[in-house]
Amino acid sequence: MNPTDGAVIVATGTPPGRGSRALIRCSGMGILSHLDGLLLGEAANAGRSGTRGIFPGRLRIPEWPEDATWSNGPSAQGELFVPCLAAIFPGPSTFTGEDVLEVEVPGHPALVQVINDTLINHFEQMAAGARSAGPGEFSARAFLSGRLSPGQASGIADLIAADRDEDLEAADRLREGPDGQALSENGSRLAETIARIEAGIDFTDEEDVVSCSAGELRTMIASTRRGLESIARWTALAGPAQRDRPVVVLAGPPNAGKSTLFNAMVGHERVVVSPVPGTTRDLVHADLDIEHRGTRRQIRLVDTAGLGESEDPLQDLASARSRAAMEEADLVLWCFPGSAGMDAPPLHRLDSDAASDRYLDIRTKTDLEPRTSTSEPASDVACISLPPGQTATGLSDLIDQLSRKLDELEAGGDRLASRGWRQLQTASVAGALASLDAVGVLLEGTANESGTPSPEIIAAELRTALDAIRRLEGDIDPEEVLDLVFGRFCIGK
Amino acid sequence: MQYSVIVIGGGHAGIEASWAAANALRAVGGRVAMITMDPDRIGTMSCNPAIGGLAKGQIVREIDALGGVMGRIADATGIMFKMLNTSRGAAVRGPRCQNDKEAYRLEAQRLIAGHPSIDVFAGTVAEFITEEVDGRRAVRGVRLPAGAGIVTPVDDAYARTADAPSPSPVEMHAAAVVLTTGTFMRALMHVGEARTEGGRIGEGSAVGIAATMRDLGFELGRLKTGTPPRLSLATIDWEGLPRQRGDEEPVPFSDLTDRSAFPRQPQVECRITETTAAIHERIRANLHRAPMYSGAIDADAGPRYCPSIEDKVVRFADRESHHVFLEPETIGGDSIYCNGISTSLPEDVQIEIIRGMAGCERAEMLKPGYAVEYDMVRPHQIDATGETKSIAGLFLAGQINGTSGYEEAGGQGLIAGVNAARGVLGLDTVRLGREQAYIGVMMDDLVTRIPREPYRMFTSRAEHRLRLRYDTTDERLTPLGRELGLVDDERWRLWGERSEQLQTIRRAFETTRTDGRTLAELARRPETTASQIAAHLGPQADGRDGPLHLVDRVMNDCRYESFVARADREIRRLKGAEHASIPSDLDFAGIQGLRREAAEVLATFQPRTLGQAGRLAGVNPADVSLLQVAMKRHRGRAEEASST
Repeated sequence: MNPTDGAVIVATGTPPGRGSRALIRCSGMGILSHLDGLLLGEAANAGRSGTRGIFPGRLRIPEWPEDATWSNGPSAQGELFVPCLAAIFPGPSTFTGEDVLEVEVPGHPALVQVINDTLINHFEQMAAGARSAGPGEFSARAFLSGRLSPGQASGIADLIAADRDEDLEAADRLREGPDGQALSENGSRLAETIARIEAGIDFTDEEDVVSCSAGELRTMIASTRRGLESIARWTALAGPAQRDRPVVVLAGPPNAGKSTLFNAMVGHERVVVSPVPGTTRDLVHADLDIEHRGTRRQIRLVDTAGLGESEDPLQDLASARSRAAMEEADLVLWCFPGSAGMDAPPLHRLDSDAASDRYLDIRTKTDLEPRTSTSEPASDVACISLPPGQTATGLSDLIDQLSRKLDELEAGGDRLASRGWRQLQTASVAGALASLDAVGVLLEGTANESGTPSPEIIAAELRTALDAIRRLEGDIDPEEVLDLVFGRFCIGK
Repeated sequence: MQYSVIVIGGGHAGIEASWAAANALRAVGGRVAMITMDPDRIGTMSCNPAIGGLAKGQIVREIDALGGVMGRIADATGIMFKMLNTSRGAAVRGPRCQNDKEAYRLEAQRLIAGHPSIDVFAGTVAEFITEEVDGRRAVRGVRLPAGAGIVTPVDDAYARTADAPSPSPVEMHAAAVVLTTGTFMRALMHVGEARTEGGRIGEGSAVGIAATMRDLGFELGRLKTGTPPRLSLATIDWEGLPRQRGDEEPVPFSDLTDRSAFPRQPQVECRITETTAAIHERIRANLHRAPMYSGAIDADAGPRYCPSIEDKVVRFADRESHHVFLEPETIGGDSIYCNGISTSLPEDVQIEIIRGMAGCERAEMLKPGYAVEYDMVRPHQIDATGETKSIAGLFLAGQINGTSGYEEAGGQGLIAGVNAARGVLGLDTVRLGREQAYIGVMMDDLVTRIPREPYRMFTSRAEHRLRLRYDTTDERLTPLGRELGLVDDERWRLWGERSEQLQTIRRAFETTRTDGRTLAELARRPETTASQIAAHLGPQADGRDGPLHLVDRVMNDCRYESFVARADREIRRLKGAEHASIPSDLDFAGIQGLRREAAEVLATFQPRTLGQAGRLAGVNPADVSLLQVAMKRHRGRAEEASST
């Protein structure tokens, strides 16, 4: 979304679904003098003369689309006139500071969609173009045109400041984590490489300048790629398409059966399971639908490496990643083997979360527990048994508990706060990886010891990658801050 | 005396400023006065006898596309043309030429003398006339000292002194003044322990103006730069040294230059020699006598990219030799410029250095190298229009803003000159965008950063480098130049013809197919040459400048197309915010939620656009968003106030 592009914006202001009437709102400079061919009747006259008010009229749909279904809709294809009420608000004394047109039409979903498209197509002929409004974009227009009162503007100022704090926290968490440090080192190396390539461009006539060889560049790209891919796994906890999907993380000591549980929940083998502790080293995730009392919901389930003391540095890195995933999770399923004869061990939970309600304790491998066990599990601990090759027991109980817990969290929860930020991260990582891949392609066929071909293009790609990395470290541009802010308001407000 | 615009200084900034101002005023018949200490020195190449280079060549082409004169003078007086970086892509190539420096100076004077609305005055300005207008100080003219006066050109050249020196000080009035002091403001030259006041050998120093600027509240800085010794050609074993040649097919800077009658001057060769370990030893032994090392120079910094030979020897101690290029300063003249050994060592050491180099064993020195230190005005005190923020109508351009180089000076001069004229005419001032021109990048850098050394342009300073090619300047800037009144009918006609040809060629690139591929697709393959493409185009590729020239350019377009398209999307996205104007009465300290550090930085720099604010060190994106909110509220209040 770009609140400053001046395009006409169109959005349906009533909730989706069947209602008796639907309201569709348009805002843009000069749209009221551009109603010919769209509105007929009193509404059209009012629009033409700039008379403020609500008027009956008919809205013209030039071509009823073949694929739009409406049981008692038009039998014939072609032009169609829909009765409507049109509210005419000439700018600049409107909420957005621009001309505003609202049409109230019968609330049939297919019809509303077609009218929505009709309005966009109609206003697209104007110089600035037209498009669907992004989230909060009417508010953004209001703000940018100075239509908000000082009080409201203050509210937005506070929101920007607060929003920024959250983003900074998120960036800090990334920066201080193991991947963040690697990223920062990669960023510095990348910057250095760019500097050498630039020197090879700007100072070719100087004797001392040694530009970067293709081989050096390849090595640097490979190492930066590794860092970014690891971040990508981390940020995949909340991909852009899943912004409203809670992230559920499986965590606990090594060999507690987390991966077995993951596979059971996903419904097929995604993760290699072995009785050797520490088999899982990277984050693995899957998006799934779960059903609870007739309501389906979508979650993103993440499997992590076990948390424990280890001599193995790779395992330490894996643990650090697991902790980072737990930080980002909406809900942590804390797995511990019941066979070990203990209750939920406090060991290795995040210190900041000592008393958190983000945890759901899961007692795994109950099939291996001795029958004579004296330790009856507490009532709020889910028990689960997943003997290899047999049907899991306790899974539906677990799903019930998980759903209840998510309901609770959502009722009071604000963990979804910095989703917008994570979306940016995902996009940044993807952008950086794409740029590095492009450099890889440019280097194809060049021997390691040769200089770099097309250095100006390679430099441009590397700069794009570096910008993306710097953005991950918390340096984002102002337009994006505003987008994040306005993204929180709902459409058509 | 009354003029529309006064330009102080006749160097590369002053020439472009006078030319641009005079052209922008043409429609209303306004006149420009150029005042300079020594009109005979108008257009002097103070240091190396060369124009252009990487990034700098692009600036010359931009000045030309905007109707300026630097490219025309360089073409008319060039004695060796060379396109740099030909092994790399077109976006990072840069045209450069060696010039006959005497011919250069005379050609500059011929153009100024031929302009019907520029008058030249001899004199050293020490004082401005100012007055208070609406609570802001505004410049109203200058006071010329006794002895000053108009200089009428004879045979298109100017004399050193006034035709009839005025016996008493005179007031000259104008609503805009462009100040271009070069290296002359409180200038001090050093040759070893010897110090002389002045900005060039045999010339004076402008002392009074420094005090005036300080009194007006400007924060001054001090910079230094250096120049190498000049040798007598007759005493060098010229033929025994390796040669350096120009391009077989030289490319001119100016779109006005007729390629069929180019180059105009006979072409020369340069020679290459080098320093030795023994020379480096002598330099080390005499470092205490170099003013830079003895602490005799109190300037902030010299340019890192153009180090003196003593700097090179200290910083790169393990090197046993550095290249030295011997470049003729004029055709048929005796003076040779020693490119590579800029120095402030004493004359006796300079002689030792020179005679240690191959081919120069018996060389005589015509002029010693020297260091010069001079005052500058810290450039955050101007806007990207060249106008000072504190004094309406006062513009600064060139080395006074802490830059180095003829091209950088010329670019600033043009911007200051056109804006000075527009201010007088009551028109909106102009800022070039960073995505539009290297000149735009330079102006923006100057107003958003504290310079640590004399500012020189590099292609890497331009984040939109791929769209700022040397061969696209006319498309980028000439229509703007026409709109501003800088582009005359002849240039505009040529531009129109060239645009049509380009359009024809571009269309042919999309429609002509060979082996199932369009020419555009073929052009994107690195091994394709312009002549291969031209063979498919036939006569439609022919133009005034020959077929390959424009075909090559369209091929370059094809090669960078995807990158430029990506950058264009980003530019469009940020455009609104980038150019949003910050009201000059906005109180940064009063902005709700703004961090104190950010408020202080904003108060110091007084950025004029949101884009400038965002590029200040110490201002983060959240600060810019808060500033944006404050601007909206400020505007809302202003509108309310004006409607009641």
